[in-house]
Amino acid sequence: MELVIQNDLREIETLTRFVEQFAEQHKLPPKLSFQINLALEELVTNIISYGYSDAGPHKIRLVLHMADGRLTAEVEDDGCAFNPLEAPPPDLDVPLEDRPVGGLGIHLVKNMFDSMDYRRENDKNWLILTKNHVNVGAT
Amino acid sequence: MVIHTSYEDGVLILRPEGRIDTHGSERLDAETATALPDDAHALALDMRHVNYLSSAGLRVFLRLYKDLRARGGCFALFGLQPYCAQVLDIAGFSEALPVFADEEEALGHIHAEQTPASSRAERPEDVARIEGGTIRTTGTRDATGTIDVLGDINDVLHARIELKHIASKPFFQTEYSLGLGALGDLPEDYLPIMGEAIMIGGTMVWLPTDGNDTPDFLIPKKQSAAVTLRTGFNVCVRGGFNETVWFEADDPEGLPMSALYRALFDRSRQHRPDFRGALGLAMRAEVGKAFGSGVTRSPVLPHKPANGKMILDPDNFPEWFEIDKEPRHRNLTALICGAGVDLTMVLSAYNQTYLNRTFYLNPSNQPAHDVLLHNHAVFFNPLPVPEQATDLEHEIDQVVDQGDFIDMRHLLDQTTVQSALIGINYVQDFREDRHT
Repeated sequence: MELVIQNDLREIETLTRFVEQFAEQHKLPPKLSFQINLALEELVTNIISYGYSDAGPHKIRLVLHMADGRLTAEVEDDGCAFNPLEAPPPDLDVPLEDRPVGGLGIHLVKNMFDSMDYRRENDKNWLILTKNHVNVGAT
Repeated sequence: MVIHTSYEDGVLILRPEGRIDTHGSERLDAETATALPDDAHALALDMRHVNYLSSAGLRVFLRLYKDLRARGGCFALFGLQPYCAQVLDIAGFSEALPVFADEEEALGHIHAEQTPASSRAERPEDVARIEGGTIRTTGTRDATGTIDVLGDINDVLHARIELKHIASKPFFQTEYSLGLGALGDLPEDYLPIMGEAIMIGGTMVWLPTDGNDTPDFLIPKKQSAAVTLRTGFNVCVRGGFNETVWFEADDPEGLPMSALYRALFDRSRQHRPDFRGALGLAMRAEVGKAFGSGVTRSPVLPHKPANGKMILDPDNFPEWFEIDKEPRHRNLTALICGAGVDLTMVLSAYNQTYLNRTFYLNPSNQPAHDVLLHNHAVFFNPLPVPEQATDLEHEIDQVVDQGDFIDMRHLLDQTTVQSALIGINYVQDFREDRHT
């Protein structure tokens, strides 16, 4: 399944419906649906909030794919180059009061999927998230 | 997202319903900005009806936490659904933010925090003689304690547990409970090996009935959704502890559990008008002689004895239970969770259905006709006895962090306690446990 959205935070609702449809179609367990939704929301919010050097309209393309127990999620955007794999993990040992607020979203994304691949191509960011051994139809 | 707001006992409670995503968090942020007066000191967030949480929501929690701390106040969350709890865990917020199972516990925490430190510190220490030892009160707080029961001990004792009796109980935070349980995803995997289980503080231990007699020890604080206890019977001491006491036995060998409960019952009858006949306890104890017992096979319907009698029946008892005639261990440190009723009292104040689902007469207990107890324990190599211990949760964490785990058992009443920091919950009622 594919979805193209604008760089507008209101599109988060569209994204949620997109994930719900995909989850329903593939009978994904609620936990997995939650995780996909969370990862995509974090990535898209990041792109929309920090990804562009201009204020103009941009498109973000999302693809969800499920085959042979392997789930992939692709996110493609034409924003500034940003490789989430290089984002430093938040220091969870720092007391809560002193913790910087950034970096949490990407940290959550990394924990929701088994692997993450990034490449920069044709002035676009391509991020592919993979989850293996997905138990379809389970609850 | 809808957000309901209410004030209870000076605490602002926000009850959002729906998703705390990028938009939901903006609504929540706006709502707290308007609903929280500048001089307000306590905010609780009811998460029971929130089914989605992203980092945008976490940032609002962090802001609320910092804001309230800055004004000397208190912020607490309660009733998190498992996936949302997992988000909190992964973000590393679970151990730093005050997270509670339910509203009662959250408000109990807030009220305890809001009590001026001076009034707490100035209270004289109350040292008293009890039969067989001394007791020193190290802390008190307002709490409404209950014993919350899942399932029925009678289904266990008749070995008629089926899948329909099994509750899936997420475990991700401090809890004090004991029962019959197992970990596992598929019923065919966990049903045949359910065994004695205990949750104490942030730790869970269970003794699979797979023939190996090897307990499984877990600290699942950080992996919430990954740890779901399948339980056919569980008794939870809920609501926190009204009182924390330091106990020391006169006899170096220790005081038997039955006598310790008896002494606590007598003390409660004298001093606590809210004592109704039952106590829920959790303790970090030095144990002199540990007598254990435990089911050796899972009491599920396919294992039901062919003679149709209960597993406690003398014909069945020997092959269903392992019973220590001699102490299984001597002189070690234990974390104990349990409950007891004073049989010399009229127990009519309690819901009889759930009271009767909690206790049973174990034939291997040396008869004590005036108390009925149900305790489970986790054993560690002996650790130094803490000096001036007052904070039970902290002491439990210390034992879990520093102790070498040895064993886990259902405790027989003849087990002796040499000294202990004991949290006492004055049980107001026995109820159905709805935290599943």
